[in-house]
Amino acid sequence: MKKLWWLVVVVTLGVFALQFQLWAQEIVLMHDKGGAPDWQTPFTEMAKICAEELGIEFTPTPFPTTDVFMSAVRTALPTGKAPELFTWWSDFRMKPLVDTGLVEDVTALWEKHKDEYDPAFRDAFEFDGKVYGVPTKLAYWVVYYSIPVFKKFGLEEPKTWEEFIKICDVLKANGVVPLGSTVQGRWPTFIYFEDLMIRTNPDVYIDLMVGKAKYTDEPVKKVFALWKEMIEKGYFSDPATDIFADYPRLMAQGKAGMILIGNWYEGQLIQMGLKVGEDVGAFILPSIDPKVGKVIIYEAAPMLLGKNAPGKEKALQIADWWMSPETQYKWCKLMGFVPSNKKTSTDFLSVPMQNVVKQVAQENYRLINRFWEATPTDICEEAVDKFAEFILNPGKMDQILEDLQKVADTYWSSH
Amino acid sequence: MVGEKLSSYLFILPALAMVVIFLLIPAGYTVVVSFTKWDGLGIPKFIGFGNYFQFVRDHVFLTSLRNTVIWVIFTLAFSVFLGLLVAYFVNRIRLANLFKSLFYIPLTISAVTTGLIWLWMYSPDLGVVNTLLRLLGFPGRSWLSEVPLNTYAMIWAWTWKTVGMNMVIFLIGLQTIPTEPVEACKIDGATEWQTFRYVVFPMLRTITTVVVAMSLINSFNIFDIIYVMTDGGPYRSSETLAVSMFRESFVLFHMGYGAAIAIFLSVVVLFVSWIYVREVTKREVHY
Repeated sequence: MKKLWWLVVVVTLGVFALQFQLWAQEIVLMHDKGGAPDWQTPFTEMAKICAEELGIEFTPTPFPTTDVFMSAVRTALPTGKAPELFTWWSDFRMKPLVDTGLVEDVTALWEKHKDEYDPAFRDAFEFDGKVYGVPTKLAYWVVYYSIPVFKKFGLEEPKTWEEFIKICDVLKANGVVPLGSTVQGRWPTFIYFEDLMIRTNPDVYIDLMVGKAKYTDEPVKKVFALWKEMIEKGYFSDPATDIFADYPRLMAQGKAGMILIGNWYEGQLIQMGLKVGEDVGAFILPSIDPKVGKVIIYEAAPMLLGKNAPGKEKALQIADWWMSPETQYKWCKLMGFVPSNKKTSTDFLSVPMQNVVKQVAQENYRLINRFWEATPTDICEEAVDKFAEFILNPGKMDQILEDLQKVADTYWSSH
Repeated sequence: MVGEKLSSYLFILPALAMVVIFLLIPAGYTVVVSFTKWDGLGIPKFIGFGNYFQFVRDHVFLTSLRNTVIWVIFTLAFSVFLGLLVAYFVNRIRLANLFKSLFYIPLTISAVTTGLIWLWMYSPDLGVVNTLLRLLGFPGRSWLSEVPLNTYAMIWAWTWKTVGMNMVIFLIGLQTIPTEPVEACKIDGATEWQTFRYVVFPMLRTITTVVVAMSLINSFNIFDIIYVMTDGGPYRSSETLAVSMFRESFVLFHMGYGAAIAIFLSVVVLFVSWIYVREVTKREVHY
């Protein structure tokens, strides 16, 4: 009996030791999209492909919310149990991690693949000449519109800002919500600000993001005045509308016409039973000032490598494989993303998005990073609340612009 | 004797270890962090009481404090009062079990799910609340983006969830009240209100103390339903102290300031609960 007891102890300890060894060798990919949107299923699929093609296994590890994910990553990065790979956000969102030296420099990989990527895209991950992430997502911000609603009122995709405003007027006059907008969820409040800004003065937008222009400057005031006019004319949906759950339904019911958003929104539209290309079309918002030229907001998200991660070498191999045109094709096809690798085919995208990608490439559009990543996080987090206050109280415009500048001044005075 | 004592200590050791590891050490660590400026990545910088002095200059903190007070007052007014009212009437009617179940069901749903259900119900375009209002000829409202309507709308959702719990506790109290004093009141010609006011309610004092103390603590710490329904917005107008603490610590990574809010909140909850229980037990009446 005693021998049997010892045998059980030894076997149990052996199993634990083996498990610990396996944990120690495991390459982990942490991400925050385990629910909606679901990145876990495509990441699992990519892990299988990686094991087959590269002979390296990685384990996608989802977190229930973004806040929990960010805390977990920041806590783990300085330790010896840092994740080998983790999804993140570009530009100023990744700067604190880069500044503390907790993420791996992958400049060599970008040099190897330099003919395959747009330099504007690389800029989003570059600090002091070094690049720190490999691409997981590229999205263009376009206007999705209801094709039946446009047909019903004899409308066509606008080529100029004036045509776009006319569409808003026609929809409004017929009881259809012209544009989706919300203060719910906080972050979507910057959407119209950034898009109006880059279509009137993209250089001031870029300067504003890095503290070289002020929120109280005339070009910014003009944009706010235009935004105010659009709010007061009733072009936007109720500010409490859930643009993810409710707005696609409103579009499907013919009660809403358009929404300006990243092309990942197609997933939301498809979930509501809408067919992109048949029920919903897409166009790039025309410039307000024609002198501005052709501009579009892009959103780039990287996958970063933990510098202190035990399996860093294998993670670098995965990162190299990940950047190749073939892997990008598989990943983007699974996700419905615009491929960031120029050599990757776009044949899996919806027809409207294929046209947008072609238009961006052929007409030499200027790519500008979105507000969420392009300005320091401390400013951004306060600004999205100020934008919400403006959406709900457009009459407080001057006070809000002064408040925004105070936030920016506080940040830039110590950075 | 010594062996007996030692074994007693051994029995409480696991629970004690849990309290020390998961409560006392983190609490002490939070106190230390509250005296620093730290983003959770670099080296913390000691700033003394700087984070605590910032409270008076931070309008978001003051809004959160005001909202927390509103939550406490209205949770007591709605959830506790309605719980008592429902328990009193349910205790006297024929279909008591049916009504008990109806009021109890929302309690079995998690706070997050409750938040999601009411989020859909308050939807300005497709929600049932505005649909009903429009059917009755009233205009719809932006329940979650109008300030301060959004806070009251969430308090109502929370009341819907918690009233059943308070009802059950009050029912237990009501069922322990002996029938003789109530019958004596009736024989003496007391009205329904007089019977409740002078006999039933005083005999529920202990139960009421428990319900009010629980509601106080829960409403001071209210977080999940706000996190789901408005995320403290718009423009941080519906944050409570618990939500502000979370946002400062885990969204803005102002770890020191978040820790200071946590300490402030804990001290307030402990102090208010202690004062309340002390005052109530002083006035305890024994029959």
